[in-house]
Amino acid sequence: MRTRHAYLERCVLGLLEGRAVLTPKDRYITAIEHREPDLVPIDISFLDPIHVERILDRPTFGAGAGGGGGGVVASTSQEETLGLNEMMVRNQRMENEAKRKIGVDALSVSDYNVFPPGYRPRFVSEDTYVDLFARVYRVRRDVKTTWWVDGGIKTPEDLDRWVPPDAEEMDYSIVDLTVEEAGDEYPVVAWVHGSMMFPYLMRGGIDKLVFDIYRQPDFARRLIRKVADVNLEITRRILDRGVDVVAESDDIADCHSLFFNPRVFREFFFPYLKRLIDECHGRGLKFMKHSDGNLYPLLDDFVGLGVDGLHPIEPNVMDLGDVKRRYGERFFLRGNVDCTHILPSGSEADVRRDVRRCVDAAAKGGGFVLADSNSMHSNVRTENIRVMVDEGRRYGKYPIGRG
Amino acid sequence: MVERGSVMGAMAQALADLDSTGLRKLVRGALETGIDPEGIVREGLGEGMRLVGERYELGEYFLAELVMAGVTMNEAMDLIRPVLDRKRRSYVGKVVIGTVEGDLHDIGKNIVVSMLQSAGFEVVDIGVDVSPARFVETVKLEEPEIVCLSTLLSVTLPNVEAVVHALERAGLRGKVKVLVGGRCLNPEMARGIGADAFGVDAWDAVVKAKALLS
Repeated sequence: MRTRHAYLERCVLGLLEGRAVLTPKDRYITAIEHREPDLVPIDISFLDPIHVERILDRPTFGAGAGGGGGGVVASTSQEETLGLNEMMVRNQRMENEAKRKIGVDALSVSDYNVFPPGYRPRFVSEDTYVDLFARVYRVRRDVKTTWWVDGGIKTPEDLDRWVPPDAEEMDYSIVDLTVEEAGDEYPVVAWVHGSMMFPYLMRGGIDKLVFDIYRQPDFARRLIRKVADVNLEITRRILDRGVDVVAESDDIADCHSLFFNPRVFREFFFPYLKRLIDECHGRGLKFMKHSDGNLYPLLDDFVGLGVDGLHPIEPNVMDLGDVKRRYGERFFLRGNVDCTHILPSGSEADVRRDVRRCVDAAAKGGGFVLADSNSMHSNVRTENIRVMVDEGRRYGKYPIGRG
Repeated sequence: MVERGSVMGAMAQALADLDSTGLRKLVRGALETGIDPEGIVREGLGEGMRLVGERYELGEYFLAELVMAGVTMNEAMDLIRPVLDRKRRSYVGKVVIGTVEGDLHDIGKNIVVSMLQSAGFEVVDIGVDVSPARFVETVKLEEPEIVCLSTLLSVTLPNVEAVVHALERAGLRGKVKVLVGGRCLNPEMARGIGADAFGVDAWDAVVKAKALLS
């Protein structure tokens, strides 16, 4: 309610100052359509539960951080009784509330957090479990953390035995909830996955999938296709519920360069990426590609495939201003306040300086959303998130002549 | 009689091109003609890995080619190891290496193992997800000059320090050098947790390992 009040207050102030004031949704959509809104829109890719708890001053549910790439499991017997889907709905409601409270311009949902009804991960030891994509995670309940350690698809026979989740049976309550809470005021960004990341997690590492692609390509192709097909079906059902922007978040690069040769991407993965992009465009939705790392060698391919936006243009690896100059008319850019060093350990002045760097580099002419450079992970200082939003609001006022 | 230099050059080229079949054929031929295995490892495979690194730095190769270069080199090493083991190798030093507890990543570690072996180190690879206690037991048993600790994940970073402390508690720290490497570390952090050296990559790890023994 306070947030709504603050929003109305902004509108009134804006009108008094003679500025047009847009809703966060209008602001966001205007920006990604390469036009200048009233303010640079601000977004957060994923807000770790620790920040949600600090912002709202009450606990979230479960151990782990689903939207950030880990798994989430019940950490208490009470949560075990609730079940994962109910935990996810409660966490999603809290995340939405925390984002509105901190003042960003978008809500988001992640396919990491949709499960079949009654689903429970299969524990193979006290602290290790296998999820529905045969990915193996380890959990430390004392610090509410999970992390990926291995994959369950060791052989072609394992792949034959693996039954993908049935997209039709999954519970999409978190999407329905978020679309409803967003209403006409906020855009909803759907973070989904395609064909390029789950296969190496399921195989137990990039090295395993690399070996498959070079030495047993038919196995690699079968695995990639199986993952691409189920993820497309899950994405379709998320899109059916009325989200506004699609962010495909398969990580495909490190700080040096790509995991695979561009030739491999074109042969093994891009047909599925194109299929996913066409699905989004067919519904009139913008498609944003996320990957950490150095994506320079693939940017021209992305243009050809129809990618509309890029995130995060990793700082110290890619140059936001350079990408804006070379590809700014083709891609909207989302990023890239440094969450590796500055948001976790920088001072207030460091964060403000980094926000100004981003705005100066990419905001002119629209086509820019200010956001973190991956996620608001657990090592980020919560206060620095507030500073990022505050500086984004102070400095990110159009018209912006720099850049 | 094929000239030794051209054989080594062909091996280096085959490895750089990730041509496992061609490389193994060349290695078999070289061993049959009596070319010393140490020379094959250093001048043939070592040079091949240098070319791979060069192509990677130039952006012609990507992580996948680095992985496959490691696989290709290991397949060649499978032919060379028995011959090397039969001969007395010029002994550089002994290393115990493992990925610390909680981390199952071994791409980097495996490349370091290959590079150390090709540089003449005897390497005891104790795998991934290795507890501090197991590092201590292995150091007691193998008596290496160096322990190499690998980790990728920041969540397992405390486990690197735990190994250093465990070695201290066991009274072994004065007898063994600790070399660490991995994406989540940097030289300052390595010093902070009490390591003797930090390898920024596999090539650097070999340089640092040699420096620790000098």
